[in-house]
Amino acid sequence: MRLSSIARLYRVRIRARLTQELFAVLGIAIGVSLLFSSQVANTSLNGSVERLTNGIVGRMSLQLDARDSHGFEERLLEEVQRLPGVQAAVPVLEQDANVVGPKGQESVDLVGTDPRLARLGGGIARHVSEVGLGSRARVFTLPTEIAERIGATSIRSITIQLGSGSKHALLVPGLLGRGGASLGDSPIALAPLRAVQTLAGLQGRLTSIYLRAAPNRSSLVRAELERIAGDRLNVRPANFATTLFRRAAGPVDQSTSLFSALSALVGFLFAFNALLLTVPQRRSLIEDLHLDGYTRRMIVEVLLLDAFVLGVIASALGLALGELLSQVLFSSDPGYLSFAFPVGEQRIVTAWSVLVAVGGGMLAATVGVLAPLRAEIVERPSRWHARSSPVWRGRTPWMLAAALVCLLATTLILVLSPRSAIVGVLTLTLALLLCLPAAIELVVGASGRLHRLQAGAASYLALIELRSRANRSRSLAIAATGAIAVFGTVSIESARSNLQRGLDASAHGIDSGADVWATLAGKSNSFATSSFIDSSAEALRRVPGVRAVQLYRGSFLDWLDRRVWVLAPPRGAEHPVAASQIVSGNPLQAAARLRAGGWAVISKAIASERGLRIGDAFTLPSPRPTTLRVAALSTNLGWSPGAIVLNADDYARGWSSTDPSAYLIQLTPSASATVVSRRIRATLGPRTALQVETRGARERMHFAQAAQGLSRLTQIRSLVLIAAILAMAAAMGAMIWQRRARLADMKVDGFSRVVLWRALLWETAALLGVGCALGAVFGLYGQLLLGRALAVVNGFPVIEATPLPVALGSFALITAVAVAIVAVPGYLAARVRPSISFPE
Amino acid sequence: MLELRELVKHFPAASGSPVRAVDGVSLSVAAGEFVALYGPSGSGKSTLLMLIAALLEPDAGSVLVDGREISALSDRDAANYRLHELGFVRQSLNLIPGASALDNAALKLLGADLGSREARRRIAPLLEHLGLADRMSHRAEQLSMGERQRVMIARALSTEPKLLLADEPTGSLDTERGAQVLSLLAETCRERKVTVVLVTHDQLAAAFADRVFSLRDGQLIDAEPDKGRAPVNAG
Amino acid sequence: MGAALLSLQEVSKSYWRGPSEVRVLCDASLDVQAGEFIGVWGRRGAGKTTLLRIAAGLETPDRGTVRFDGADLATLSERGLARLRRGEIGWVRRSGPRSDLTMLDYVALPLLIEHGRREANGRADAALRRVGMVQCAGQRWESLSDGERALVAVAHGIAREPRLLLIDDPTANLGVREREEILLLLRSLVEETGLAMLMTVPDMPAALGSHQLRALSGGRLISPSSGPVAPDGDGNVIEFPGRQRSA
Repeated sequence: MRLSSIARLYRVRIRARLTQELFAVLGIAIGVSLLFSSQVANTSLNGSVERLTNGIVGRMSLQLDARDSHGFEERLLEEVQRLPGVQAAVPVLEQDANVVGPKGQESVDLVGTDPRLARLGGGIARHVSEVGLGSRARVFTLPTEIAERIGATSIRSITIQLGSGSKHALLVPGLLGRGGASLGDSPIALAPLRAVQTLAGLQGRLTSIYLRAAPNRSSLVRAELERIAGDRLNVRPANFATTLFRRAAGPVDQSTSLFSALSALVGFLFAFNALLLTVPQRRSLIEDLHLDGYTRRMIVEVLLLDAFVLGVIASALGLALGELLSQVLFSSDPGYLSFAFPVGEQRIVTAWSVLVAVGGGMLAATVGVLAPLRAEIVERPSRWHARSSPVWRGRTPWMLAAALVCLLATTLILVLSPRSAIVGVLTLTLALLLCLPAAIELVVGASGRLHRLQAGAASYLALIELRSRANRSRSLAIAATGAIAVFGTVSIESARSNLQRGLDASAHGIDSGADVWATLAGKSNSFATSSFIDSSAEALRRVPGVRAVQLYRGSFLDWLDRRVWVLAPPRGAEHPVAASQIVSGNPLQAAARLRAGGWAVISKAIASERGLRIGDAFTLPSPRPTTLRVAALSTNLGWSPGAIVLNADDYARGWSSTDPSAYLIQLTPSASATVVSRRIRATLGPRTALQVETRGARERMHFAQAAQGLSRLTQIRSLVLIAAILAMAAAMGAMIWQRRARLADMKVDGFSRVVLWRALLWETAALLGVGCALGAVFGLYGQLLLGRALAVVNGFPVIEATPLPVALGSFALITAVAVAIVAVPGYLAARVRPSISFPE
Repeated sequence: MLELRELVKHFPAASGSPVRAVDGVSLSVAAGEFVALYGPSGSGKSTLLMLIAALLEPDAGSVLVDGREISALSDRDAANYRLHELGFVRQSLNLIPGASALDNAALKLLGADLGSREARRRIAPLLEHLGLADRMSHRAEQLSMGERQRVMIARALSTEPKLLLADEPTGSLDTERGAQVLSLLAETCRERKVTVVLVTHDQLAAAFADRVFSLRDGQLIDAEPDKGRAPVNAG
Repeated sequence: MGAALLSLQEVSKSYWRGPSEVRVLCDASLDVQAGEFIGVWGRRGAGKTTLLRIAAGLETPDRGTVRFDGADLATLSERGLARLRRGEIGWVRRSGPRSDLTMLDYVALPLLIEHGRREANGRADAALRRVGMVQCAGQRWESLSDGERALVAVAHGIAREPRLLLIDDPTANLGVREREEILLLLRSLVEETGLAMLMTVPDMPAALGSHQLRALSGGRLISPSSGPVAPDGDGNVIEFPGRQRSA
């Protein structure tokens, strides 16, 4: 059949179903936008790190890395350059720093390097060659956005906080600004190697050497490098930061994708509801086309064009909506991940994101158009003309059996492989949808039996509609929307609040280690992972109100593909690890072992990956490898790649450094934390890079960070709620509106407006009630699955509370709001003039 | 031209014993002939037409059009047969809402691999012939019942078929308009030498036919003596 | 003879179809007594349905008055009209239940407003029995033939025992035998129950089953013949045998 003919047929038919078509477009667009914006949020996080990494390393393939910020001797560079097969090598000294301008301060990854980087590195590095990386001058280059944020938009002097002191430096902003090599707001600063070495007091030291190996020689080079590295340094691909980040961002990415998929499903159900309105029209068209000699293929072509146009328009609108959404709602906030990685907040749109979203939209459109007409499409026409028996009956047992299989699969996943929680949620969703028809039938059957005893006219009318086969697909689609929405809300919200409670408990456990904390300032140091030179401990001990000052040490350590958080509380700490964070082992014994030394508490996820059990010895890949024994297994303390706790003395040995990353200040019983904090600040002086926080303030900061990190889940949940309520209300409204002729009939028969309205509300409440109740039940199971995945697989600290209030709340809220919204079209429809029952 | 041989079609019924919708019907229609099958609702008229249109497979017997066995055609050939050799005028006036009379009438030609422009160009004279010259651009819902029925006739005749099947073409019309439509149908088909098989419960329709048969309980009864007699209410 | 149950006096109604006004009814007057069966014949679009709509209070005329049992419909509230339609005026409808119901439930449905389920079913059963369709009680609308549907529709109309029954073209799509059957049924209903019945038909023969006959043409209700006027002066042409006036 000619395309022009199919197009003509599309054009002449569209006018009569424009409204329904627009609803379908809207529904699919909502789904597409959610898929798109969540994809963008994820790729932006990963892409930001990837772009930054590639922008610096460029064509270099390997790196030799120090395990801490003290680095290694610069003379290794010459040794590396002399290796056969090494074409070029670039020295790098990387330090955590704060840049302070007139408008504020920002944490940056300060990279000191020399002109060789500009020649060999990626786009970013090439861009800054003119800064004169070869000089010894304190000239810094910042991304424009960071410069703007601290209020340093022209060449001017700014303050750099590095180690425990502050230094002045000249800032050259804008060179990493907008354009091809734009970094957006990636927190990075480039400076000449010598300048950074001087600032950090690390003359003659490097933290990394990037190098390019000749083609075909890279395995040889790698072997040589590993020889040089011994057990003190790491040899890794040049862009290894990307791998580390993916590992850390995994749980966030997964949960975002999962819940976005759920919300997209709600959007698509909304579209499906709208498309069902057009089914009678399409069905009669198909019958006519058959009589006129159209083949089945031609009919499918006609329908496919319907789906195609719908899908294209809806996808385009969805992409636009998603673009908006990702800017407004899904801001790709890196949250706590920025503590260990230079993550920017720029949005990165990949072809893959667009493809996933548009693919989802096209699929939804195709399924929505073709699925309700499958009998007409698949069966021989000679069969469907003869069809008389209802299609529905007899399928329920099969669907229930399938639902049971899905439930079983979910349970197996829950018990045996919580890692596959995503698959589990999908099978659970499928089970939910499969159970729905039976649940509705059950409720309809039960109320039918009740009605045999006592009949109220309104509820009986509702029952008739619910029983009607003609409404069945639509009723199911509406109930399914409610079910998915409540299911999603309950699982998301329960998992989120459990995780939030767990993270708060973990933060509380760590923060209560001191009455007042003094750490290096800066957002990226929230976990107290940057060390400074201890020069004030003695002075602080003399401050009135201070009982004791202890040294806390900590940092991030790369252990294979995990960037692990290392916590080293002082040997005398009362609770080196909060008992609530121990998942395996005796908390008291673990604390005693930590104090004794030579023991460590490690995250369960790391232990199971390494095959370690309590009591086993392992070698920590610290700057000076240290052998420790496993004292107990803990949660990941809220850091997705995992954590290790050892005492501060063991840490000092392993890192060959006594530099602390925090002063833990204990007060005398009668002292006020606020007053003493003020005195401590005065003692540290105005030029210090240390910030002083009371325990309470530090806890509040950590709670807020945890909440912000989980805010995307809250946002998605709200979107699911809004989309679902709108979807159900619109679908019910449309269904009711189409029924006005019948309502008019009933009015002629003497039914009053009130009875009809009440009947419509009964029907809505029953339908949504069944759907939402089933959704709530499945949601409870879903949160169990997700909770287990978070706790067992990623080792997050999860504190489970009964999810019943959430389940009941979501059920009641969604049902009530949707019924309340439907009450309006219901009321209007019930006011229909009875005369339309008899058109002239 | 059209020959039905001992045609049988049963439907399973809810109550158990199958309904014999068409029960051993034999009929031979010559080219250009106008045959009316008269019968009350439920007498198997529509089933018979579906069998002739190859939309149903008979349980026994055969349908021959120009000597070719219709009931044995593949899906694709059956569709092709309906497209080029058959016109079907049905009772339900399901015009595409919102679309013009012209577009509605051109529907079948769109399927015949003509471009949409060509399809609309070809259908116009036929619509004019059927008295719809000034209604062509009116939308379906702006047309009267009689006009809608004429659009359906135009659609059925648009691919110049040899055989026209009409299922209660006057069902939605009153006596007067029904007669108008029928006479137009009969005249147009006679001009174009199209064989017509018309089923109706309206005895008026029988007046335009060359031969009239009665269909009762799936069986064909020669009703020649009744031909053309208007229904009389015994009162 | 008492006052008419339904009385239309000089009723006019017109519609706007695009820019032109279509006069559907023009000074139409009509009285229907209890126990009387009146047929109105007219072409499609002649305004037959409008006449019935006005009679049922579904539509207000532009001019003229409509009285039911002495009460002017124009003075009744929406609630009063609903009560009237619920208890007094029935309408036989060809569109069926428009939902998936057994015929027993369909007929019983309006009875549920005032009766319990058991009582409603009992009455519905009786109505179906009266029209000879009790064997179809468990079936659904789609599975019925046109003739059966027409009969069930009548059962639906009479189940609430209205005093006036309005029927719009009960013989559409029916064969001759079925037409005769349903017209005889309607007539016997009127004669047995004292119900008043107003029926519209597009074909003359069908109208001949009624007690009185009117034609609706050009918006005017006219007697089909200017011949001798019947003694009561209401314009009927043919007095059918068996007509029993309760007066």
